[in-house]
Amino acid sequence: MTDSQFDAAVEKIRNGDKTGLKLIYDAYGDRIYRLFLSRTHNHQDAEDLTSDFFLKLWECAGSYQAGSGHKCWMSAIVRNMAVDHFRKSDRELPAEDVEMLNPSAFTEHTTAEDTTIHHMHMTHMLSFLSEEEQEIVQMHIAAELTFREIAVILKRPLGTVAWKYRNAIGKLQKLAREGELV
Amino acid sequence: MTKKEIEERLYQEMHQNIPDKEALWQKIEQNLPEQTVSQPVRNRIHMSAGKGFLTIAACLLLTITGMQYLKTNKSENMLSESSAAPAAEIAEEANNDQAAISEEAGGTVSSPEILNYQDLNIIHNQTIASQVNLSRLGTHGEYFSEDEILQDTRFFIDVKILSGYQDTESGNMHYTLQILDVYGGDLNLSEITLETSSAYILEQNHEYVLPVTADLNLAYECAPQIEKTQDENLIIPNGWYTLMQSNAIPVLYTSYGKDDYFYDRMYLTKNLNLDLLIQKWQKL
Repeated sequence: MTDSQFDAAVEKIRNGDKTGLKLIYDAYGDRIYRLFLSRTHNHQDAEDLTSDFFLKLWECAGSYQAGSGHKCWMSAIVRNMAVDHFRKSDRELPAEDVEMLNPSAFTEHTTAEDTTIHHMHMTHMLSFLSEEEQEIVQMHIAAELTFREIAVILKRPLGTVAWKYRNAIGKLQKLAREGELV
Repeated sequence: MTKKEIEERLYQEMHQNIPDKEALWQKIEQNLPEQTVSQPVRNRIHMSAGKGFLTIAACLLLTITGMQYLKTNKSENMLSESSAAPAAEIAEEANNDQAAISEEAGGTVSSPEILNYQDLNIIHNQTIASQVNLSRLGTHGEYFSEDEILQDTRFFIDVKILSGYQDTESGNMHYTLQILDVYGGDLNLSEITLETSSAYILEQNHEYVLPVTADLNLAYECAPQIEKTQDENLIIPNGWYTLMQSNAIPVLYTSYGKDDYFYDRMYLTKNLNLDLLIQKWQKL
């Protein structure tokens, strides 16, 4: 969706026309959901947050400034909502997630099937990364934002974002390699 | 697992979980409150006369440079939505780069002139690029590091691109190169073929200086390669800090892919040979 298409959709929302929100939902619903899922690791939470996101979008469309970069604006909302979600729930990770996050878990699985299971949950390995690295990887892969867009959202230099992304993938590679060597 | 495989795995995992979109939309729609028609927020701008003048000047610069850029950019359709960086931003980054270079070199900062790639003394063709499905080429998450590239480099080869095509199965590019010169050893080859997933196209009849590994693969795929102009200047990504000079001129480079973040990080260095870089590399 281009900025001008987004602007037109927001204009519809301002006029109470639901088709404006539907257009944005069709274009970005999956990405928003994936972004929340990658942060919460919980389908229900991700769905609820996605739903809340679009309700919020409906309500605060008036605050959007046309031409200001809609992806960055939406990503900032997602970011704030995710932070609020964790603050409110102050939740601990489910037991199965904790096991996946335990490095020793990699050393306890030796069958090809188990190795495959670990690979299937590589997103859990993101928890080994710093908060910022996780966020950059999620934004780049789950939300398909460019490094330039991420740099704007995080207010970090472009080179720093690309550098941190590369380091993050390197760390994941190392973790995966350690798991496979067993 | 390679880094690329890690990225692909993450992508697959993150993209396999898609909610029932229709059901989710119904849930959203049911909960939509009645919309009170609101007006967009308009920023109140308070500025001094000086700031106002600077803003107007910046807008003029932006408009003029933008128009020149659009006029000359023949591959506009390839530009991603996210890659249209304002010229003012580029000028600012160019200033920062040049300040850093100048500080190192003990020189003075010259005002940032910006050149368009299309205006440089090169053959302006898109013989290869026009036939490529760019979306099938590799991702570009690697940060440019001169030292790391030099560590991986076995030869620097000065080449002319004879031809190139995209493999329909792998999506990779295959190039046939005519070797004009070799630094770092003898290859005893006049032509080689090169396979790469790099989204930075090597164009037919253009001349490049490529750092390559012992098995003649590109030492670094995630940035445009060093290109020679017909008047013997070099167009380089700013990551080649040994080659950067205080009088290097920013070049608005043609952007191809959505993750192409070097389009505003290219520089023209005049009357430069590669000796400094080669000497540094040989010491490693």
